[in-house]
Amino acid sequence: MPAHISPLGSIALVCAALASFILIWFLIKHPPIGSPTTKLWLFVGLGILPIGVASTGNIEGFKATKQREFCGSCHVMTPYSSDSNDPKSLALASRHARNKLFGNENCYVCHADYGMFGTVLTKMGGMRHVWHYALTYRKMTLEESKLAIHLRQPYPNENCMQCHSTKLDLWQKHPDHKASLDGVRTGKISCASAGCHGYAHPFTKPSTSASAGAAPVGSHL
Amino acid sequence: MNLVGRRGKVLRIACYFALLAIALMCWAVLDPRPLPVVIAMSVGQAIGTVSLGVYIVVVFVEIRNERQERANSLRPPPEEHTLRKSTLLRNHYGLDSFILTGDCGQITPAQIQLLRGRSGIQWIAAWKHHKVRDLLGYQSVQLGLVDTQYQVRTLTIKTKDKIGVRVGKVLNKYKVGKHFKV
Repeated sequence: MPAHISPLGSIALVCAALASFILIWFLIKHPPIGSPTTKLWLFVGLGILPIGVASTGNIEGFKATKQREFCGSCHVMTPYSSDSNDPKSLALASRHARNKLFGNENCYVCHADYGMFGTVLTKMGGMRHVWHYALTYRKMTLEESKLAIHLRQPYPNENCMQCHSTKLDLWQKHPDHKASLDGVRTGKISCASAGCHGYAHPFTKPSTSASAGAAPVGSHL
Repeated sequence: MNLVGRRGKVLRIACYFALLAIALMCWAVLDPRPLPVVIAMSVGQAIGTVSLGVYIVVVFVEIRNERQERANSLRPPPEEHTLRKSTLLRNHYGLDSFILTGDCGQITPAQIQLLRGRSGIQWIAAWKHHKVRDLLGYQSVQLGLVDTQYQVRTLTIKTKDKIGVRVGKVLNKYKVGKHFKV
């Protein structure tokens, strides 16, 4: 249950209450369906108000799917969300979660595909995650899931480059960046690899400890 | 169960389903976890859409039936309608004798029975050939109304052969040979 309901959520609930009132009135009172007044009320109760509930509910639903709590609500994702919540963690994901621009939506911001249809593709991918969770990962232990769950495709550098454009002088002055500029831009060298900024979720790698693979403290993001 | 009762029952079922859809959507708003959100955005909205669709169909049928009933109540019986028109032609236009023409739906046997006793009124109805043959058998068709010589007189061709060729072309094209004796 959310701590507080947003204005849109409140609108959805008010519309739902009004629609329910009209529908229950129709079911109890049995007014003549030929009457124009009945038709109008039913149109409001079956059409306008439920559409209001659905549209505001959709927006609320999409907003909810961006929250870290939403991602962490599947038990196999709790290590990832816990790591993001850990203020002492040096993992790449956790350090981004402490950035206000990412905040509580850090899972979505990093994993959402870039581009015109990125949001839609990400939502479709999310549906696939729900499907896999229901069929495969629901009964899996956390230890098993850490090794079993992996990205479907290598993490694209374009997602990092939404913020780190690789075009600023400060970025390009760094010797490693300078040497690997083309590889980073073409995706041949991953930003989130052991030799660079470390794994985003290092605890999922069997050969590394929780902080291994992370960039040293003080390095720029 | 009459039609109104059946439509009312369908609407009540739609209302129950709409309530279920609303409940699912509210569940997602109050408890935004993956399962409620996915169910609300798929099952909930599908049920709500179907409920609205049922309402639209029921109301459409209701309005159509109402219009049909209203039109039927305003329209006089066809026999009465024809007599009224005949009276109008006589009184308003001062016609003593006239010929009514129409298709088989406009001039029906029942109307002909009514018109038969009235002087100065004749009729031509476009019935199908089997109906015309039946009426010929009852001597109900007035062959005198049809000028059988007229078509031939207006033709520019005069010889039998040429007329036969021309008639043959028409009969072959429109497949109406069964109705004529050439």
